[in-house]
Amino acid sequence: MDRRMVTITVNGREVTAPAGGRLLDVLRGLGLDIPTLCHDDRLTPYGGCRLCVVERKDGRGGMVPACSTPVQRGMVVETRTPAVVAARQNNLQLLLLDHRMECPVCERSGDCRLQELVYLYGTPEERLPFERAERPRDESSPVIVRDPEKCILCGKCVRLCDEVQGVAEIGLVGRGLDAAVTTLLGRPLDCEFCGQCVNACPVGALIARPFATEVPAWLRERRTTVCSWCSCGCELEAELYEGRIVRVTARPGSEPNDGMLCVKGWLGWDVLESPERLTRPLVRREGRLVEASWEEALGAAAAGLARAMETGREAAVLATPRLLIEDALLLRRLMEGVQGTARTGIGPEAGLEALASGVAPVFGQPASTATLEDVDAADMVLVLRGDPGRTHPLVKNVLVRRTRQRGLPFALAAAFTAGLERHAAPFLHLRPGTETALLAFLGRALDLEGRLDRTVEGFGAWRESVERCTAEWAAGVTGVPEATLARLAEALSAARKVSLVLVTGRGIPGNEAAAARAAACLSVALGEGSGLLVLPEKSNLVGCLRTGLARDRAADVLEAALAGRVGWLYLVGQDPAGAWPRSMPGREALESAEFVVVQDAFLTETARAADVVLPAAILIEREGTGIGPEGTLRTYHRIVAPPAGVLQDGVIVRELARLAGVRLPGPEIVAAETAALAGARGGPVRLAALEVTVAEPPGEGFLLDPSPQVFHSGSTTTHSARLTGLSPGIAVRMAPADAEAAGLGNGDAVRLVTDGREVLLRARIDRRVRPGTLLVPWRNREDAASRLVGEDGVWISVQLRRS
Amino acid sequence: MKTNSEAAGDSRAVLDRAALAGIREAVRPVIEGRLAARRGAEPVRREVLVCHGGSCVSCHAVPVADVMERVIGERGLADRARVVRVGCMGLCDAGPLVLVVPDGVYYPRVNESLARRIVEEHLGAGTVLDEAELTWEGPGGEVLRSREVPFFARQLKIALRNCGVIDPGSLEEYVAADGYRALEKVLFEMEPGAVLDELKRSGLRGRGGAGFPAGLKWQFVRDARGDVRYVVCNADEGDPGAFMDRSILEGDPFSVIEAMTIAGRVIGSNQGYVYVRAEYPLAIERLGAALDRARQAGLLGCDILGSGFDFDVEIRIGAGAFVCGEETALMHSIEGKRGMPRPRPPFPAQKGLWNRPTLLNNVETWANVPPILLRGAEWYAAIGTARSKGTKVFALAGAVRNTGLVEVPMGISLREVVEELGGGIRSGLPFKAAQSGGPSGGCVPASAADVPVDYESLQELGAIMGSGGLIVMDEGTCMVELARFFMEFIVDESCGKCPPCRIGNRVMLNVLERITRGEGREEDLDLLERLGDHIRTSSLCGLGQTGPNPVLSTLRHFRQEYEVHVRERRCPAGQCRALLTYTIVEELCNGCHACTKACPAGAIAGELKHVHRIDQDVCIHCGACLNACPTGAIEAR
Repeated sequence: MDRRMVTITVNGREVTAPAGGRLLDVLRGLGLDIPTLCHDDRLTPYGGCRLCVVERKDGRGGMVPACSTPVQRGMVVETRTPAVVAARQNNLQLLLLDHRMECPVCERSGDCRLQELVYLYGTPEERLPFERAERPRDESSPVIVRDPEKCILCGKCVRLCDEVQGVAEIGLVGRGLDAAVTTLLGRPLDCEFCGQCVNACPVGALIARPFATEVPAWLRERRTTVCSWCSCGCELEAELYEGRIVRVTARPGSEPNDGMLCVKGWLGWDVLESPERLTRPLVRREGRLVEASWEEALGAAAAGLARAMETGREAAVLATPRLLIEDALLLRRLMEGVQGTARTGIGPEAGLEALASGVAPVFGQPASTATLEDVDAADMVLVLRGDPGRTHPLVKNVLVRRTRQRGLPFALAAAFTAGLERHAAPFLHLRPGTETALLAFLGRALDLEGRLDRTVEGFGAWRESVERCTAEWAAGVTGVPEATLARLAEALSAARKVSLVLVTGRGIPGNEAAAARAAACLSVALGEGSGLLVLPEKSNLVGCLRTGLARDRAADVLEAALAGRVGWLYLVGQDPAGAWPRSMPGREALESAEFVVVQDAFLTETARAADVVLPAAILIEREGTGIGPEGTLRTYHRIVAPPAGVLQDGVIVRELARLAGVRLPGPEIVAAETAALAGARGGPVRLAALEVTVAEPPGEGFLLDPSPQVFHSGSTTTHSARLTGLSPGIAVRMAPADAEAAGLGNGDAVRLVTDGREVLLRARIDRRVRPGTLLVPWRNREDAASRLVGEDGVWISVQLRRS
Repeated sequence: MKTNSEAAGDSRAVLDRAALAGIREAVRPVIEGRLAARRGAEPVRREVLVCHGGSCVSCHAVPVADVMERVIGERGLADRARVVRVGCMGLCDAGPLVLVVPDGVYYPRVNESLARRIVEEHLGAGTVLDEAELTWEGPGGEVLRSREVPFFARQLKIALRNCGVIDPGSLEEYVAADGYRALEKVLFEMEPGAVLDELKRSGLRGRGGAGFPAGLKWQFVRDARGDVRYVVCNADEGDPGAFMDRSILEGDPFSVIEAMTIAGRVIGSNQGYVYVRAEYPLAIERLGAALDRARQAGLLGCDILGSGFDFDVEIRIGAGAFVCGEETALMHSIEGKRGMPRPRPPFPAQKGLWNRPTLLNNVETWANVPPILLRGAEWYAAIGTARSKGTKVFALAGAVRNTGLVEVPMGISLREVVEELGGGIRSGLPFKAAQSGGPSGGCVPASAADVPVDYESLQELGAIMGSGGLIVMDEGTCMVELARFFMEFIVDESCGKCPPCRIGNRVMLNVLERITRGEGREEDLDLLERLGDHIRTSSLCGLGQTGPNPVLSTLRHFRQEYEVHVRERRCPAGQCRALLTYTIVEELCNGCHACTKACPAGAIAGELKHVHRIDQDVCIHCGACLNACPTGAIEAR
């Protein structure tokens, strides 16, 4: 687009502005308060509310809306003439006529854009004849109440849901005064409950039930921090009253999420107040866990450690990658101080293998080479393995926006999806676990096109390893038609900047390390400007990797424990007995370890088997630093204090160190070390030969989709009543066509059978499930999906039997 | 007699240029014969042109033509006469209308028995039917039986050139009437730049209402960046009362297809869309048939006439929203989205259908294109006024004698249209005003009726050219009620996107309603003006911006009438029921009690066979007594 700087006149003053740019941005940049109700920088200009009108004095048509008028050379604009003010007053007067005014008791009072503008501008005094129609509130949703009598039809909710969220659950119907925002045929909201619509509503027409509080806006304290549910790292703004979160929003313009949140970041914070939270340490006495003081518990833990050292056994720690960097550094130092050979690990976690053994050998470091901004701006994006809408909602939104608003395409190659395939061009419906084969084919095809940089070290060996991966071969392995494969190769070949996105998450079938390596190689061979973004599941996986805490693999720690060599096992936010895949003998390892200390917020399966349980702060109760998938530092602020008696991980580690006689560095040194981690750069880049293994084709029956769900991924979220309330419950979800063919209705009992294993579930018909697929969301080790899948990463087909 | 399709040879073949020339040679004399039809011509063979425009079809033109065909067969007249079903002849008031050529005799309001007589007497015996019973009179009492009468003689048909002349289903007749010659010229003789130049010099302006120079618009789309472009025909004729676009699609669909094909060649587009409202089933049917026929003949599709140029046209059917005539809403609708306008810029020429550069013209504009390219810009530019060239089709309705479609040169005065073409006011009351441009337009008072009509002069009068709907009113029309009527339409049709239009127009309507109910307040007139002005300047799209026009223009030209409503609680035209005073004329009342029984308010008293009286304090002005009285004793003032 033409972006030459030109001179325009604003209120008699000459200013330079980019030709073709949005007049509104220029005026606001000058510090002028131009009122808007329907405008949102994240959306395509709408021009609906007519409040941003300004007067053009250069003979090109009087009143123009600043939001949708492009800057033109020689433009003369006045923003506060009597005519402009009158137009705004008149519009406000009209809007108030059709708005149920109950400001004194309105949820949004003090935080209502309409109220604010009426205050600023006033309205003409005369009374206009108008009778507002009565319209019932939509209270059918457990989360969002819609009040059409307050709606001013700015359309922001509708457009965000469509253009940004890619869901289009709501739309406008009816004409004139009958125009209204509604769902398809008025059914109850059945969406992602991301809350974008509620956060964007300028008035009180959309209210979130969980935040329906009687605390007025001016009494709420606002604090921002980074969300720590997934690795996206969205900035959120919590509003507090008496130290409790009463509302959560995000501001347009926030980094990296530009005001977007997902259901977890919006509503999931009730976990912090869960009655199941541990608030006192527990110590095992006579075979039972009993409450104890911190002093007793820490003393017991230290004693256990001393005994292990005395008996010459190993000390080992496995921590969650949600651990903040400062806490992780202290933990590493503690273990080093205790025993030079102590085992330290952060697994098993989705994304760990992809980074540590997948991309590290290629990039020279366990990190991504593309940022979310790169993904947003790339000519072409290829998303692999999963639907980020389930695991990394922000990434999904970025993909939807680039294609819906700017027409930039992306491709999605995955076995299981949750709606993103509707926006993908092309969508490759892969057989589970065949991403590596697809990437090998693309490598060969793009090289034949002459698109790849052959000067990269290791190119020859890599190239040779993909030589057999022809389109015909790839079509056979992946199940994707040759024409679609060719379309993807063509799109990538034509693009100058390509971003690859590798999704990880529990229950996503296939070897993530192999796929990550193949993706890393291709991204390097695509040359300057192209890169790979690996999306780990937990918020600070990359940061934890950089602290050096991940010295040992979880499997090795388990093996040592099973062999009886581990005398002191410290589990920080890890739940081997409850949350690990069944392929890993977590429970057995616990039993084999001499002394087990568990540090967690809840009494997990693992904690129940521990000798000492230490209650820890979680999520936004913590203060510290993290590193996002693309390598940027993130500062986490404590938004709410943890419950009384609960401490942050690093504090607990310091206390343990004191008792164990290990000297830990002071806060200044830890801060300096933390800062140094941010700039870490990897070694030389080199390609490596790919090992393309071909999975067995699926047997007869349905594909089992055990991928995580956006509402809920199975561990901490289990304690959020809001999230579990929204998540569809334990059931097998299936496409309407499949249910009909099997003669099943909603709620019917059904038996899923595979290879000797069998579970009984209720059937639920869900239009979003692809035919041929049965969706049984992974929750924990004991649930249906887990029992069916057996070994992690192996996808299976199941038989459906009426029960 | 052979049909013209038969005369032209194998009609199912793909046509090349030589074939087109052959058709022209074979069929042209027939078409010329129809155009030249005059009274007194000596017929060897006759054609009976039966109007099959929408209006005539709705008053049973089809069975009339069927009867004529059957009787021609029965009487063995097939060698000497045939029936041709043509498009709209314009004089809808007189439908079903039949023209016998070459005699040039019109028969109005033909029914099946008259159809039989026309065949037997006129075609068979050569006797023109008795004129006295079959005529209708002009203002001076003249008989409208021939093309020489002002209704026809004052017209200059360019856009409607083929309507009422050719069979809209016959590609051959269209070709014979110079059809596809302009396309041939554009494909083989002219550079696209020269076509643009010709259009610009012709001065053709958009006939949809806004009057944007067509050549410039074509140029913008041609110059816009992008690899894919679209051509769109706006046939969502929403102005109630205007039907020239429907008539063209029904009567001459090939002319629109040819023009769109020409545009495709010039701007570099291979795909066109015609957006027609669903309320035009006949137009959709005939356009669809014409598209099929053009495709079959190779005049649409790949490699048109061997030129290497590909073009095709699809029909998109609207769902009856007035706002979908607005170009951005129309494009949303084609894309399958809610028909709702968006801000411009970007203009469709830059970002239109699916964000591609898009050329959007209305049906009448398209129909003007082939003749301009054929006869040259100078010919066209010589017609009309300094800034408005060519002709304009008006849908003449209301209080005039002759209602229907007329095509007249720009610059003609309203008075000429009303008095000469329209035949004057039917009721004999004085001509009061004409509403131009439908609900978005405004009133031109009789005092301004001598101003030459063009885009600018109408705008100065507070009206607009619009799509050409022209409703003529006599002194029996209340201007407040008229404004209320149009405002009701606008309120129904607002899309609801912007508050000035959605809420503001409703407030305007509420104010107008209370004025017509006799509850108007002194400040209401200022309120209407202030709010109307706000809506006009602040609304998003043309619908809102022009919505208050009927109110503002009637306020401007007939303010006193509003004041009488408000101050004297009286409606001078006697249209606002609530403002009428009902009294009983004693001399006429026979005391039958009919009014007493009809009155829902119990306001009428009187003994049987004695004069009744209306108690004005109780009367609710419903008018029930007026309708019930058998002797006309109730007077309403």
